[in-house]
Amino acid sequence: MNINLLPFVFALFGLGLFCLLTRRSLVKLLIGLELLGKATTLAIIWAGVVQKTPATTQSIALLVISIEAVVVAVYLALVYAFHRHNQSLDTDDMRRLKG
Amino acid sequence: MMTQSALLESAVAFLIFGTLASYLGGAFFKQRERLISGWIATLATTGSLVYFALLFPSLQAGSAQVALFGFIPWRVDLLGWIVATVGVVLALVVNLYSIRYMEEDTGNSKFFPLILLMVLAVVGLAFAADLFHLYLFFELLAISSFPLVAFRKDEPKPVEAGLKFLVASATGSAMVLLGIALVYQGFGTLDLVQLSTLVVGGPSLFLWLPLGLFTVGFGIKAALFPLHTWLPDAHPEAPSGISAMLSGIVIEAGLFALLRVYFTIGGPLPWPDLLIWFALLTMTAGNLMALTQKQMKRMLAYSSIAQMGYILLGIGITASLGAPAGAPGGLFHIVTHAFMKGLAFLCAGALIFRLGSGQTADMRGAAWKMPLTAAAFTVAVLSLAGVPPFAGFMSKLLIYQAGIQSATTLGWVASLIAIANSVLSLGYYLPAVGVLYSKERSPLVAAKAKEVPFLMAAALVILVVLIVYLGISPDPVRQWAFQAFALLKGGF
Amino acid sequence: MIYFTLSLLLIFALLAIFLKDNLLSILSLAAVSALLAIVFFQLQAPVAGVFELSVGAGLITVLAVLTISFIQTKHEKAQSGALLWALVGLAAVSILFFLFQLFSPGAFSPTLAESGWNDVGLVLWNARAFDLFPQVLIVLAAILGILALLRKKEPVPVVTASVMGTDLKSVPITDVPIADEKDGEEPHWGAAVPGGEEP
Repeated sequence: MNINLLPFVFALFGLGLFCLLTRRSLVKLLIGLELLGKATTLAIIWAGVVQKTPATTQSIALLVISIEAVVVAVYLALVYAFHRHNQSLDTDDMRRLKG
Repeated sequence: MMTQSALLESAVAFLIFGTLASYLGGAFFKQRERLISGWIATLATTGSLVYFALLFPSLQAGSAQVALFGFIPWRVDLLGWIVATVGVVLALVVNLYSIRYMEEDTGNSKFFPLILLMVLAVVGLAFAADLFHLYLFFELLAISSFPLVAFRKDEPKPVEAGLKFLVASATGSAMVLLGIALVYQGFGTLDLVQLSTLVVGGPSLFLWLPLGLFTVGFGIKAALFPLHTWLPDAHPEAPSGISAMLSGIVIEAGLFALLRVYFTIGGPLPWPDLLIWFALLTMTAGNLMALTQKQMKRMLAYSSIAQMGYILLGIGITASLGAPAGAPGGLFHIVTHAFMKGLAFLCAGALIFRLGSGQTADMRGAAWKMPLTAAAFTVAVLSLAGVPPFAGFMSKLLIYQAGIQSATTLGWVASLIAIANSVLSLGYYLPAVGVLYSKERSPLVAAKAKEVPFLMAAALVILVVLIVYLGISPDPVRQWAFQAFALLKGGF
Repeated sequence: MIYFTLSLLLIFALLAIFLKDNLLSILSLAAVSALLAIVFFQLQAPVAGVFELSVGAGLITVLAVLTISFIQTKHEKAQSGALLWALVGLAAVSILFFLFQLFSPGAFSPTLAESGWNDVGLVLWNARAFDLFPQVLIVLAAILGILALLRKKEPVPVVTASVMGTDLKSVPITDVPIADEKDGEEPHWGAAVPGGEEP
């Protein structure tokens, strides 16, 4: 069977970008970032399938997934700090900075 | 005589152990957290700098493969050495400066180690020879800079800036990573040297997508024109030492990584003309936006965007029009920009340190009470605007020359636009200096201003000396920049 | 078959983006993660699958839900129960599907090369061992950064700070005679200490 997962990768990546650009909440931004991360992980695993080196790409994927978790942890720490000033998760409350 | 890898190992080990020692020292001696962490970090960067200096003579022959600590394959070349060394020098000055500057803040036992990790990331990505390895150091650079931007988390603005920075940066990272996955899918290897040989005969059409993703991804991190929106928030809201690091070396690292990728796998594609147009757009947009800023550090942040345009222009001219002076000019501008933008941010920080306000209007007349800071700031902005005899003039001159040497319409136009931009930039630099030297004094200046403490002054003086020295005798550093590109084969 | 899982994954991604409720969209994201793990299993990449399931669907979701619930105690609203049930149902279906896949391995894509824990371990510890170096540094940076971001709020009044014995941060070190700390009697809580005032 001929399968090609790249369209799915791009669809997922596109959804992530769409989410980042249009949604107005810190939770949605997290979801957007996560979708980007999942799309890239899928692309990496798929590259291993195409190149027939699944072990290499899996080890790369492990590192990528753990970095994803690390970034999320830092992001949530920032969200926590943000919330102490604003009591909200809405990026429209980020009015102090222009641009 | 130590071998090349032993020297590099020592330089890296200083930074790693400095990170650990700086954190542990600060954490154990809570009372003097800032002093202990700060001084350990300063010593670590100094030690690292010494070994980088010792490494230099062995790089004249070209790039070499080293196995760092026996298992990390890096490629050492002059190009990477210049970027890494500039990062270490800037970090040394910033550490020295922050020892006093951060005295109002808590948590300094985390502040200084994070700066060291940031430098380590710059060193790593300067020498990494594998695409994914490069990406990991990029991620290290990003993750160590988010908390530093939001370091004053008890104020709302830095936290918001940190969030914006994180979202923008993580988006860029994801794009780069997707590009890496596509490259791996196409070629089955991530080693840059191998890739550069594969690409020559390989399918160039397939590379459009990954190269586009790399351009946008690294472009976000390097704040190229339409992707710059996070920078004017993140850079001014960080503590001033960090602003200096971010503007001085971090965004340049983004550009450097982009170029590394271009030089290895961008060969057969007609990309260079685009670089020139992007460069011109970036510098013009940065300068125009800087003109309207009321806050000193925000103005400097926009001017960083403009300066990135110059660096890109230099490299674009060589790549597309073949004038040999362009790329070395861009590289030399990376060096000078690190020092002059670093100095400008540190001076702005010194003014904020005393006055407690970042508004340019509040700094009216500060020069009469803080003569050294004001003089250093004047040197920095004149150099940024490209006024002789300062370093910025020399690097910009190389870029102008390259455009004119190319003897093409595009080259001439680019050089003229770049020169016009330099004049335009005086439109916001000179008023800022004028405010400092104004006869009347703002109430804040009258009440609070006095010259900065010794350590901060020392940091400013080091950078002033570097800028004036590079302005008066740009060689040998300028020669190194030429040599770095002359030695370059297949990206290394 | 893999297309079916991926389509389900995209549906959950859309749900995660468009659901109004924060908790539900995070749970949808967890479902995306779980489905991605199944895709990895289907692609004969079990190590990445297990990791994605535990870190992506598990750890990240727990962290996010904890943070959100910690933050949102005030304006807690009744969640739309129907959607939650729909979600749990879908997740259950996908887990059943996953189990079904487990018991019929390689049924749909026999050409895929297999690689288990040993192969990945070998690559990670030998061929790509150098990637562990920046990885360790990244984790270190994140730990330091999170410690820095979650450190206790700065003591605002200078007086309190000096009483707590942390006056060194607002006074240049050279101005503080160290002997004072030893021989001087303990200052009272809340009492103003002249040496601790802003110069």
